[in-house]
Amino acid sequence: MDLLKRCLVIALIAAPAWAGPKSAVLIDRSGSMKPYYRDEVVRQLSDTLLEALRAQGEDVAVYAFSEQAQRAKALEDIEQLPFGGSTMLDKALDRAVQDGADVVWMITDNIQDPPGSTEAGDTEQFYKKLRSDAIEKVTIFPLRQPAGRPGLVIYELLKKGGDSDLYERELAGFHSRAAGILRTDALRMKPLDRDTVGISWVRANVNPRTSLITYDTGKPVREIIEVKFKSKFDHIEITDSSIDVVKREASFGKDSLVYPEKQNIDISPRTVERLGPGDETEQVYKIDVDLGKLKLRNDLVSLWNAAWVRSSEDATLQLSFVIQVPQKNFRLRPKFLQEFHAGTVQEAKDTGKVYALDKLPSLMSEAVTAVQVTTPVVFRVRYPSYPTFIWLAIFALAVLMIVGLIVGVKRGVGVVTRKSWDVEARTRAGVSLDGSVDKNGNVLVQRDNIGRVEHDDFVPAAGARIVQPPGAQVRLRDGLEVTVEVSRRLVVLRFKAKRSAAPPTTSSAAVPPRRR
Amino acid sequence: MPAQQGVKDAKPLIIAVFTVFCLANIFLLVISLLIAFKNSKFQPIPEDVGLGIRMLIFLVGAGLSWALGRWLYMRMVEGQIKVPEAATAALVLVFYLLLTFAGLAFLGGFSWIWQTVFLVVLVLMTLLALSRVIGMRFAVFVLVICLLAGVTLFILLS
Repeated sequence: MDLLKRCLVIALIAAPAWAGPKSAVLIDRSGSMKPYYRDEVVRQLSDTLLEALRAQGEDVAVYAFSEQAQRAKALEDIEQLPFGGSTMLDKALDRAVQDGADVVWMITDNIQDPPGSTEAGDTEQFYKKLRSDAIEKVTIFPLRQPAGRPGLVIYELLKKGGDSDLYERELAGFHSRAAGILRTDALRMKPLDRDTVGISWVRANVNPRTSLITYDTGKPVREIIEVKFKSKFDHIEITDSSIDVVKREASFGKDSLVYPEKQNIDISPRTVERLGPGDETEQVYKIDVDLGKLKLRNDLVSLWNAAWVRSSEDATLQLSFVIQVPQKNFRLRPKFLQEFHAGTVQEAKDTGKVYALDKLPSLMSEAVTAVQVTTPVVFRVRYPSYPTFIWLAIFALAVLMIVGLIVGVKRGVGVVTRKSWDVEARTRAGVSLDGSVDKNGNVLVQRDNIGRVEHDDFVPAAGARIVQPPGAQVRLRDGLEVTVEVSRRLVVLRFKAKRSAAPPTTSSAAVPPRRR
Repeated sequence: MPAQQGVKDAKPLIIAVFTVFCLANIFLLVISLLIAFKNSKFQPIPEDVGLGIRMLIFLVGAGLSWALGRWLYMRMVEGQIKVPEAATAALVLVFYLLLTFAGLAFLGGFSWIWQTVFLVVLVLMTLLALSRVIGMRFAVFVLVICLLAGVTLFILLS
């Protein structure tokens, strides 16, 4: 069991090392390719291509294919192989993908029929595969030849989930190396529906980077944006296609603190009459964006951030349109066709151009291709001021409550720990006087206020003076006698502690004291 | 004699505080004028900072202004300056301080309008009330110096 586990681990570790190269070059070895081998066109072409690919630091697998694909070490090995009866592009592609290639290059004359046939081969199966989800990207290099033999075609294909960066690097590498050596140009044929048409801004208060005006929450937002569509195709033009608006949820995205009341977006006119490769439409389109009122999200985090973090945000809205392009309305631009396209096999042979290149757009597209056009637009939105005032009010309330709590606790503690005092008063001669401590701590003798009890201290009132014990005030204890001089007569006060927290009540307390 | 000494002690302090905060207000006014008319990007506080932070700056500033104003008032009273004059002068200084903190907290493209209005009112209050404590000559001198500094700063930065 242990041995089995070890074997499994070793196999898993070693698996990547055993995996085949990520790039493969498939060279057509069918009978129709004979003249190209004879004149060393294939050698020159494959050398250029392999140099470009190996310059990317990747190992490259080389195959020869006709009815079936066969791995070869070098071009010399391929040249030793007998010519095949027909060209099976789709089967060759399958083989390379099965061997683990992400990026597949194919050099072919694009004729699938047996050699000698004057009719074009049925490459429909191959193109069906190229259209399918199994293949993510397709670029075609038509290769003009000297008069006397038809042009060749080089395909660069990326399988689904393959290394897209490697694909782009190899494409750029070959394109730059081939320029000046080969008469060719890159024709990106897949994807046709993504990253192929963009938006050019004519007049707008908002654009993908910033917003020229600041919008307030609580106020309706309606913008008319004038745009043109801009093609990113190099050689393909679009004609007579309708535009649809993609309905989206009314939202600026989950990171935004604001949201629109609605998201009504319309565009007019609704057709693209002509969009040349790399061009902008002549027509200016008006996009009507009606967002209703902008609202602040009513959660604590949003209220906090709107008050304390930022006063505004750049809220991004995604505008999405779909240009529905019927198959027949994808066209290669005339200049490209003039350079590389031959209408018949004979013409291809006579001119060195590639036969039926104009069919590529229809072969590579669906009945209707939905070209996605998506662009962000930034709305600078100012947050309302009410969250700030809410938080300030909350803080003020909290501070008041804390202060109230502290004062309350302090008083409570004072009441609990402080003794209540009662007092007996008499003259020096021993004549008893009416004495009491009222609920406010005033020490009353014969209704005269002669002092007060503050925090267990006796403090004489104005006009009164402590005679015994000497001092400005006296710390009280149970049974302490204090002699006070009031109006030139001496009064002896005897303080008695009461342990009850309740304020002292005496009959005299109800009588208002006479202030000295 | 000690009372006379006290009067002499309070005046320089009042003049110093008045000069510093008058200059600060002029400086903030120049910045807001530059933002409004010269498209300046200089902002002492980032433009999109939360209103709460601005309010906090203003409220803390208001507290500091009150404390400083009260302290100055006590110095003036201790310096044998008459209570009504000391109170009015302290109030004028408090408003200078308040305007400084308000200018700092709410500086923007349109703040030059209210800053100018309040500053004009404060200048009038300085000439009518503060000058009784620090003297008309000192008051006018400081105001002229501050205004000249503001004009120079505006020319240099625009």
